[in-house]
Amino acid sequence: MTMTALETWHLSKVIKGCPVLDDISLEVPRGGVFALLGPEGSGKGAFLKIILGVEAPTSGGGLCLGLDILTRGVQIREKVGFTGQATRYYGYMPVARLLKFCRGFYPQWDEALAAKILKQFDLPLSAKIRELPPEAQQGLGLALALAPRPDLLLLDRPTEGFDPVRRRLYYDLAREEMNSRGGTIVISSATLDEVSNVADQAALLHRGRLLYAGPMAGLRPAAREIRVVFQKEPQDLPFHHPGISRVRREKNAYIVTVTENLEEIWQKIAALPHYALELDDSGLEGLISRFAKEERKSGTVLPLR
Amino acid sequence: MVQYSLFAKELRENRVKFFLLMAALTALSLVIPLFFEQVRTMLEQPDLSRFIGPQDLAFITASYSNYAWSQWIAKNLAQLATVAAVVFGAGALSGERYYGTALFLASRPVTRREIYTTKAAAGLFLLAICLFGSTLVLLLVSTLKGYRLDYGAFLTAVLITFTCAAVVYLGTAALSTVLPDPVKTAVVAALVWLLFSIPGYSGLPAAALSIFFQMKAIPYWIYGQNPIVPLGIFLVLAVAFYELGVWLWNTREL
Repeated sequence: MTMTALETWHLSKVIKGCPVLDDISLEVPRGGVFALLGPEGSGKGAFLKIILGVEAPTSGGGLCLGLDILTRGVQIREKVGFTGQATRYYGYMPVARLLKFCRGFYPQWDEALAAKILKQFDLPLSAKIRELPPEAQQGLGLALALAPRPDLLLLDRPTEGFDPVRRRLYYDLAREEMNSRGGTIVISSATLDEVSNVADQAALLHRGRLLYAGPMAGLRPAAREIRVVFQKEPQDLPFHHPGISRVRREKNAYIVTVTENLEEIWQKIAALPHYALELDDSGLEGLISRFAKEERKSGTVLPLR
Repeated sequence: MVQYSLFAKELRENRVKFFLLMAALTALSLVIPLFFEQVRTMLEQPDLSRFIGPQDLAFITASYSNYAWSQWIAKNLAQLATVAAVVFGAGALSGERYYGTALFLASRPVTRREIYTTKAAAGLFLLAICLFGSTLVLLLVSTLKGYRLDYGAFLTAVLITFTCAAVVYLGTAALSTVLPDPVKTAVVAALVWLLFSIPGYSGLPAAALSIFFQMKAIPYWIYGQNPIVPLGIFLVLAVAFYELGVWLWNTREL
């Protein structure tokens, strides 16, 4: 068994004359959670489709779970679970029928695991997919991706728009299942916030180029900012909590700088009636300019190993 | 080569179109034997010669087989088979792209060729049920009414109609890999097939170049042409359109 879940060399993809991926050489170790970060249009989606063997690269190659991505697409897709925010299901189908439809494609299918995940997301089997809210559809996607008991789980922007509690539930379910079998999770995301607490390794893509590959700690910002506008000024402001390093006022909003315990602080603030509650997302842009500068200086990508 | 789950999904998704077409074809197939006596009496009226030439009239009234062929295969079946082929073919692949489900489907452990083949097989299966099912109703009612019909020749002619309809279906399905909207695909396919029908409006031999002229099995039924010739030609055309569709579907970015 190879030590890498995923390995690509000089992977490039050009669509209608535009380079979507440019010379991506990357290794994702087996086990653990790997984050594939990059803004919209950075090439994350194209990378995942190539890894799945759904689309072919223009040049370069790679191995997914030891299988050649150019020639062994079907065997790869038998062992890889894939779901994402952009995944669309057959809306007219009830949940139960979609499960039955998918089961027919796989040599193994864990009915009990699928049922467990559906229960966690309060998904009735009789509900029509088009009637489900986006978060429930993502839960369904997770059930469909995990039920074939994959060795690698590819999640494409899976929890965008989730509140921290749902996000935690989603990742806990994915990690619990994949860890129990030594499986690997690759999460692609356009926001640091979505993955910073779950991934241990990461890669940063920008305009199809790999800017960074290494420990997640190398990308984590020192502090995050929560912006909240309360409906009514609370008598007891919820800002006395370990992890809050600074609170400042901007017109009718509070800007809370958080260095630790982000989720707990978020929940505490969210529990109070509010008009607006946002988490900053300036981290990724800052990282991109930092690593692009380093790349220009050294001419190389920081290696994973 | 055919993926069972996907095949079942395709049948389910096309069931409304199928039942509507099947109902229309069955109703028309019942009309032919049930009203044969009334039509024959009508055809014997002397002033009808203004509408039908004496040769055609003599041919139609010569036997029930000729009458059934002229009203069923050369008319209703050929027309509705074309409509069915365009309707089933237009949604084959473009539906997946239109509703955004193509990536979900392609990320299952199945090749794109298998996806295309399964969809094509499901469409052809429904088309075959429509054409042969309604023809069997016609044969059954004709037999019950006591009319003599050349079953072998009749079914051979229907087979020619089906093979031509398969070409139309597979050509439309190939087009559905290019256009990401089933309605647009149907409109474009209808226009393309309309162009193909133009030679059929001229006399022979140019008319023989029209797939719709062949779909009526005219050379086989009237001129006694060996059915292997049109069947062979249209089978080759069907395979060519199928391979074109697979190639186009393989090159699509999802």
